[in-house]
Amino acid sequence: MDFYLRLLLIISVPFSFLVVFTVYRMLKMRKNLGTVSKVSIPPEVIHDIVLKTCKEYSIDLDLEDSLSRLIEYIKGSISVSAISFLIPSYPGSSDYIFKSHLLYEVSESFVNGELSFLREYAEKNFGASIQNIERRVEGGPLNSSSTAKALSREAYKIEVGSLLGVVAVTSRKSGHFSDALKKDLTSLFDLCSTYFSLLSDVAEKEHRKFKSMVDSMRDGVFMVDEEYRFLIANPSIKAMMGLHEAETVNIVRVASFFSVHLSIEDVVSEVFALGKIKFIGDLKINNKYYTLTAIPVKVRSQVIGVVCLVQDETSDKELEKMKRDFSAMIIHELRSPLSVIRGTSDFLLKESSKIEEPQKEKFILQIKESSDRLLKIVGDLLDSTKIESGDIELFKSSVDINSLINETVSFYQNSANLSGLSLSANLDASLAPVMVDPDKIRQVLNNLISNGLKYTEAGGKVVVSSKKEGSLLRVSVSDTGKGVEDSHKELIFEKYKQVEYAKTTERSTGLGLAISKGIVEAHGGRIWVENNTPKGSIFIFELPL
Amino acid sequence: MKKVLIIEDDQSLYNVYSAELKLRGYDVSHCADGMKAMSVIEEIKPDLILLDIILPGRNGLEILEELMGNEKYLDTRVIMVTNYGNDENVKKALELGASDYVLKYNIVPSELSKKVAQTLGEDTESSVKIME
Repeated sequence: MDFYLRLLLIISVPFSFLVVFTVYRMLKMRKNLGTVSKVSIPPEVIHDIVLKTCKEYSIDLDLEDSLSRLIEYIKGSISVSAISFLIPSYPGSSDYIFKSHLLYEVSESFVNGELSFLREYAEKNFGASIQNIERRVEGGPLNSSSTAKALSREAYKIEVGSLLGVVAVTSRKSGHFSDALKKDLTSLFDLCSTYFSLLSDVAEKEHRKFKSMVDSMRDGVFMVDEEYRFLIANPSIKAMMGLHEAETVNIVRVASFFSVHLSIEDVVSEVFALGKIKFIGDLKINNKYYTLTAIPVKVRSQVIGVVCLVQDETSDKELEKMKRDFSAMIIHELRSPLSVIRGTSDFLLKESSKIEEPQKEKFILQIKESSDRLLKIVGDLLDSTKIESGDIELFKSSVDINSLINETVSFYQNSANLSGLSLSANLDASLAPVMVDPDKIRQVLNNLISNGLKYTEAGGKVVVSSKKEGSLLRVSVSDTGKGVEDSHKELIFEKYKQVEYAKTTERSTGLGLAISKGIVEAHGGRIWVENNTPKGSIFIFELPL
Repeated sequence: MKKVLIIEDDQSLYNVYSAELKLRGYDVSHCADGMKAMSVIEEIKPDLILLDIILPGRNGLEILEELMGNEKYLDTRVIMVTNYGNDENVKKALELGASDYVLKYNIVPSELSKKVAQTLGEDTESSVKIME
């Protein structure tokens, strides 16, 4: 599935970049980390932390998670009672997160001591303005009767971009931190600050790249988590729902958009539960056709979000309908001469003895004419199919275009006279021969002249002209018929689009103009229609000389 | 002599349908233009109309609707004769009051004249066949 691959690419490109970057940094830092004697951290651990702490889809660095994981390793390397940290929820926020990892049984007041220490440090050392604090305690357990006291405590600043936090490492023993250990811990947390800052920069850059990719997609894209919170919503999805780019998308808006057909909450829940892609087509909303593909985003086989792709298939649907109408029209056009052939021959067979000779001849003639018409329709169909697939073959030779026009005009002269029409040619005698496929250009002239005669009432005139226009040969067929409405001037040359228009006019497949366009364009030329004055139309085609 | 009006823009089809119907003894008239259909009907007052759908100027179903809505033509029978056989058109025509709906490519003139006779209540032969 094309869009699934696209999505995978979007996710994997920044992510693989992160992994490469991580390995690179790891190798560079390995030496430094090695000097931290007691709290050394193996490169694969760093790698693991990076992978785990970058949310894989939005590539945000989750500092709380990163620090917690780092602390898990420190806990195992040195003997301490508690490691706690205090960080803002996001850069510049006055909401803070306080988290304490306890290694022994301590009392509530011990934990409060940790917080007061960190708070005081933050306020004093980097002017933190702290309003709300979210408390989290891990390990322990907490026991109010515990008499454990913090006798040694060290603070280490954490600086990730513009985000400032502090870590406290606490022991129940006094003088627990030797100078060497303090030095090790200082360099460790300094490194972490540098490391997380770099990572945060990369993450932000990648996030921007990712965002601009998603934003530039024509398809609507949004991503929700299990609580239907929107993690991503690109401008296309907003446009589809009639929202401005500045407006936010939420589950209520999306649900109401799809409400005629489905419950988006149910779709998302199902994808969360089953972890499988769900595709829903043929969603007709506000006169447009959409498809919805809900894709689970998994991290280690756990679904962490659902990406929904909304594709506008309206133009495909319209083309489909036009093709259906075209087929219906062609079938009708084929059946018409067939009905004549079948009906007339059956009548002749059954009633031969009752029909007089001249009438018999008339009937045989109409069978022949209908067979010719059938042949012409089949030929036009084949030609238009060749043109559509680009298989049109030209057999060019040096052609005197004026002779070709004269021949064609002579061919139609009789039928023009019978219809009470004047058909003439107005030719530029200075025209040099042109390299064209004479049969194909004759076909164009046939189509244009027969159309001109067909759509012009008795008493009118059809004129075929040739002229040199710079490096171009211009041939025009003008008539004094009913003309072509402006809104139809382009679509009459389109194989499928002309069907709607053709229905209201004379019987015809309407393929002649589409074929003419194909032939002229295959010669490197162009064809169009203009208004004739005072009435009628002029069909013009130009070919390079 | 019963009057049959053929509203059909294909001259060849008209030629053969009219030849068949004339042989069966009908008074046959022709109209090839959808716009003129109502005035021709008014003038001729046919007993039965063979009505095409795709016509220059006006769609056959529109003509049928106008005809059936006029009490003057309560006794006029209409058989739709077309090559557009989609279900929607058939349903609409029969709902509007057409007696029958036949497809040109599917019916030969002799079968068409039988339909005409049946619709005008003249063909006893086929009703006997049905009873058998």
